[in-house]
This record gives sequence, C-alpha cells and structure tokens, in this order.
Amino acid sequence: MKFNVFIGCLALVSFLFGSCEREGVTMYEESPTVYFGESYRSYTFVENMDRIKIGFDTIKLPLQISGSAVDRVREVVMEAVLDDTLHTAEADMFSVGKGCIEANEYKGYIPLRVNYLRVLDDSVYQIRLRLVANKDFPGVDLYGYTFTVSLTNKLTQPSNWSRIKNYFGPYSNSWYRFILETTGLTSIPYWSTNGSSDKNNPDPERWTMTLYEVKAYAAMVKVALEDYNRKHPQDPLKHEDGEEKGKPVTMP
Amino acid sequence: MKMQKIILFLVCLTGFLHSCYEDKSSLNYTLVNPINIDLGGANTEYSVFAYDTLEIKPIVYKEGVSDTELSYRWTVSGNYIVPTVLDSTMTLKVRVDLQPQTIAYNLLYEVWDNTTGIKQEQTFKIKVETPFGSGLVISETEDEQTSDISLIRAYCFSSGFKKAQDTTMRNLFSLVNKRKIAGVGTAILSTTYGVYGRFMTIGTNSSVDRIDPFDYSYIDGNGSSFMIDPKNYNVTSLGFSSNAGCIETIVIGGKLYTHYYQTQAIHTFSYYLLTSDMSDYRVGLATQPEWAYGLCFDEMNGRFLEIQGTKYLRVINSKKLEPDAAFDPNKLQDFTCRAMFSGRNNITHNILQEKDPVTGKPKLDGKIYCYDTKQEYYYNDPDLINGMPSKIIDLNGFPDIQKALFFSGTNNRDYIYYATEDKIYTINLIMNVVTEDYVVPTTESSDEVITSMAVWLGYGSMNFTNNQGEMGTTSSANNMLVVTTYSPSLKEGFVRTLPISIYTGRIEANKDYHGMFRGFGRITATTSQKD
Repeated sequence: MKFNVFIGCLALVSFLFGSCEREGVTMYEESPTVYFGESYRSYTFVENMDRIKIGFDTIKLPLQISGSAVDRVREVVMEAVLDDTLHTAEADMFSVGKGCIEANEYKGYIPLRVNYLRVLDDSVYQIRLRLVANKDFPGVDLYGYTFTVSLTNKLTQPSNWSRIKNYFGPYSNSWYRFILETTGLTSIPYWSTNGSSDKNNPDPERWTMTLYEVKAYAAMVKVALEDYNRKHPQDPLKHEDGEEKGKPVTMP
Repeated sequence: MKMQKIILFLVCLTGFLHSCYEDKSSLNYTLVNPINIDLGGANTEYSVFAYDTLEIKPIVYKEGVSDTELSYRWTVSGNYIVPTVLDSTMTLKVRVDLQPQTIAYNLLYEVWDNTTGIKQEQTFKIKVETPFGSGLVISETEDEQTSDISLIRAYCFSSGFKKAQDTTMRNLFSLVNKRKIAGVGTAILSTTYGVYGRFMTIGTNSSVDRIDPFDYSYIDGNGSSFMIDPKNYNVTSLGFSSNAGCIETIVIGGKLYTHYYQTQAIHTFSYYLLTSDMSDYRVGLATQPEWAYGLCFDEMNGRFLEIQGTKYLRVINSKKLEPDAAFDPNKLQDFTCRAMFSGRNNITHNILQEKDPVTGKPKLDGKIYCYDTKQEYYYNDPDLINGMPSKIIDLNGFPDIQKALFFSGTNNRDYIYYATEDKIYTINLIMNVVTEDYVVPTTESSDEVITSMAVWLGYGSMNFTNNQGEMGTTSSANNMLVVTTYSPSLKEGFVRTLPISIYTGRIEANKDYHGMFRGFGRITATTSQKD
C-alpha cells in the first residue's frame, strides 16, 4: 500500500515538474567558407612596365565568403597546386602570401607576389592555386575553383577581353598593341558599367574603368584606325596573329 | 484500493486545477510616462542656407524624470551623405556645413530616458539652399586676359524676388577660388540635374573650368574635365539637353564632346563624338531643343549633323529628302552658320550667311538666310525627320541686316530678333515685316554697344503693357531679351532686360519696364542659374 502511495506521489511530482521543463532552441551552426571571387587572372609585365625595374609585383586575388561576417579578422591560407599538370611556373617565379577577411567584411584579398624573370619575355607560365582549410575557414572551394594565374612579359589576351570585345572587336596581340599604343594605356581595366563603384565588380581596385571611359577610348582608337587605313589604302591594318590572322581589323 | 482511488483523484484534480490557473504574470507592470517632444506647433520642415545657422528649440520633458536623466542626439542623413551626428543637447544650434541640394536632408532627433532606456524619436526635413540661388550668371573681363563670374539675383531673373531685393554678387569665382579664370569667357553654362549632376562649365579661348553652381567651389578643369585630355581648350559652344540624351555638350577645336548627366559613376566629358559615317567634321555652332536631338553645323563640310545623345553625330540622309524639299542639309558648302535657335512649332532657325571660301568667315555683304529645319521628338522619330529641311527665309531685304551681330528667337512665337551694335529689330515671320524696336540709350555714354543678346530661359517675372494699356506681369522665361552692352569710354559693362509683349511679340515700348544692371567689366557670356 505504501508502495502505491509512493508511486502516486512520484507520478504527481513528475506531472507537476513536467510543465517546468525548459525547452532549448536549436541554433544553426554555420561552417564559414571562403572561396575565390574569380577563377582566372592574367598578369603581364607589359601592362606594368614600372614593375620590371623593381623586379616583382603583388597581385591581389579576390576572396569572398559564405556565412556571416564576424567582428574579427580571419586568416585565409592558399597554396600552389604543384602536382597539377597545368601548373608550369617555376618556384622562383612567385610566392604565396597569407590573406584575410577583415572584421565585418564579406570580401577580402589574398596576395600573390610574382617575380620578373627574363624567361617571361617570350613565354607564358601558369600558377595553379587553391585555398587551404584552417580554423577560421573550415570550408574552402565553394565552387570547386582552382585559381589560375597566367604570368608573362609577353602580350597576351587580357582576362577581361570578353568584357570589352563589344567595343574593340576580335582579339589579336598586334591589335591589342595598337590599342595600347594609341591610348597610351597599359591596360583597359574594365569589368562592369560603373567601374570601381559598381556593386558587381569583383575587384574594384583592379577594374576601375567605367563603361563611359571604355566607349571614349574605343572612339579614340576608331579614329586612329580610320586614320591608319586612310594613309594605307592598299594595306589596311590587319590582325597579325590569333584566330583573325590576316583579316583586316574591324571595330563594331 | 481506496487509497489508490484517492491518489488517482488527487492526480486528476491537480490536472484540472492546472487549467483553472489564471496567469497574471503579464499584468505585472506599471505604466511608464512618455517622453514628450513639444515643438510648440512649429513645422518639422526647415529651409536653411548653406553655412548659415540652423536652430531648433523643442521642449522635451518626461514626468517623474529629471532633465539630467535624458540624453539627446541629432543626426542628419540623406542625399547620399554618411549619417552625421550634429549635436547631443536638447536644442539644436549648429552651422550647416552641408552641400546645398534640391532634395531635403533628413534630421533625426532622438531622446533617451536613461533610467529606462526608452527612446522617443522626432524627424525633421532640412532643405539646404544655396546662398547664391537662381539668377543671371555672367562671365566678365576687365583686363581682356582673365575673367570672373558674377551673379545677378533680381525680380526678372530669380524666383520669388521683389524689385527692391535686386542684388548683384560680383567676382564670385575669384572670391571662392582665390584666382581669376585664365582667359576671356566664350561660353558659360550652368546645369542642375538630380543630386550628382550639378556643374557650371566656364569656357574661354584657352581653358575649361567647372564649379558647383550652388557654392562656386571648384570641381575640375582643363584635362581633368575630360576622360581623355584633348590638350586644347578653345571652347566655342556649350549646350545642354535634359530630355534628349541627357547630355551637356562642349565644342572645342571644332569637335563636339559630351558629358552624360544621368549617372553617378563618372562626370567628365567623353571623347569627341564621331560621325555616323566616320567622316571628319568641324562644328561651329550647336543647338539643343527641349525634346528633339540637337543639331550642329559642320563648317568643314557645309552640312547639318544631328547630335544623337552620346552615340554619334548622325549624317542626315539626303536620299530621304522630299522631292520638293526646300534645301539639301548636306549641300550648304557656301555658307557659314551665324546662329541656331528654336522657333515655334518644332522648328529650328539656322541663320546662314555666304562665306569667304578662303577664310571661312562671312563674306562681306554675303547674303543672309534663315534655313529652317524640322524638330521631332527624339523617342518618336523612326523616319528621321529631325534636322530635315522646312523652308528658307530670305532676310536680305531687312534693314541693317548686314550689320547684324546677334540673332535670337523664342519657341513660342513666329518672331526673330536681330541686333546690330546699337539697335534691335523684330522680324514678324508671319507678316514678313520688320520693325526697329530698340535703340541702345545714350544716357550712360555715347559709345555703349551691344555685346550679346539672348532670350531669357531662367526664372523670374517681368512687367509689360497689357491690352488695356496697363501694367501686366508674367513669367520672364521665353518672354524677355537679355542684352549685354559695353561702353569703352566708361570701361563698364551693362545688362539690359527688354520684355517682349505677349500680345505683339515685339519689344516692350514702355521703357519703364526695361531693366538695367551696371558696374561690370566687358560681359562676354551669360547663362541662367536655376535652383
């Protein structure tokens, strides 16, 4: 009987305490991930002649994160993919730095130092890079990108040509050299309409030119091309290399 | 067994009593007194001149809480500025160092009760106005080497002004920028478009300068006003089209450059426009109608070109001319263009005079004609009517036409005005008659001569004689001629305002309604300044 009373009291107490249970909220635990903002960058000392004297330049590769911004600086680690068959650069051509995502930011940079060597004058080398997981960013390669940097001192098609071909037409090294000589520029750093202030610009420090400036330079080049062809009626300016080799240069 | 029933009963009873329990925990509060912000019936919209003092004196209190327990914050934002705290006291008294803008700033007033952390907010609208405001802007020179900019704010040039308030602010450019403009002004244009598009462009025979028309602070000049430095700054013409293309145009060395207003990315002049067939050109004058694409005259090839916004200069297709077309806009090689302005019924009046083929200047006694071209809305012109010929008006029979220096007209009347050194004539295009309507008075000096003439397109009011012979008042825009004159003996420039009768289209005969402003150097260019 006493046992029954004991059971009854226990049931009663359990019942009363049942309403006192505090229900916790399950919090979402994110895994911060960092990834490259682009997948390819061409670097030529042709566009950075002053850097040849110094012997090196530093490229800032754009980074983006998924997850929330936090109130502290977070380190990003990168390494060269030496066993990648597309990686052709020698060890003395580059060195990898440590990057970071500043506090309360969603974007950042990781520096890559590229060194000038004579062999770059007539050759193109590729550096294959990947991000390495660390305690700040357990996740990397959101899109599976391995970043490729092509390195040379030879004129090469700039990585943003697809952005400017509507104004300058098909690419060839000879045509690009004509454009640079006419404009006095070392590159045409255009990516999106409003230049550095454009929210779609992955690297506002690099892609500084606005669409209006591209159009202005295209007009300047068009005048120079017309002038050249007027002076050489039997021999208009032609592409000397590339897919359009031998064809007269035309602008849209 | 009985005990088990009791226990079961107790369990059930406890369960039932649970539902009878009234939870009064949410009623365990005390009413908090509100924070009162009393503006004393004052408006929450303020208007203040830039650099002037803004004072707002609200009475703030909270019953049961001393003032020392309240804290305050005044924060201004809007117009793309970084929100800035102006003050942290109950009343605001601060010098407004914000840029004048057409859109009001937001002023947020926050009051905290430090004992509870409760906050009360009040918002205000603060319109910051330029101390310089609307009026007539002139470029003047005293030494024929340098120029300065002066502003006349007056009944006939400014909105909401009374005649007694007429005022002249001289040499504002050098006052603010501590230097004169290098060169003699050839063209000046003040334009306001949205928050970012606000420029006063001053062109001379050797320089370009751009300032903010709201405070005359320097923006840029010469090469830095261009995406690609033209390295030559001989400005011959300026224009603005707010509707057709939203562009400001500048003509330098015969090439027409455009500055696209509707962007915040970049506000410099682009490379000069190319023609649609890549042919070379040398523009003399250009005009920008309100709703049609602009037109310019190519002195090199003797033809009209249409200014297609920022795209190109369109060569008009002669093959599309009507069989009975009055003229071919591509076959005007014998002429130079003296003036271009809009007339009534979507017409552009182009004053052409036969030219000396060697110098390109007007030939001595060269015939003068008005070649009218059609205007068509820029967005509704698939047949490319804009710039096509309308008719030729022979001006050669009119008095003193060979002495004419300046031509002008309005887009609401069939009249053309032309000025010689000392007279202004009115041509009634419907009746094909001309009247001598104005002679420069000799009351100030006997050698005062006209140096420019233009129809006023800014703000302000004017008086004229109505059809009862009494004084009427109407807007001066499109109803008034602004004539500048200069007296070499006095070394003094004048601005004279001549109302146009809204009944007859002629210059107002009652000289009491004419205006005069004096004390300037030689005036070489004018523009209207709007708010």
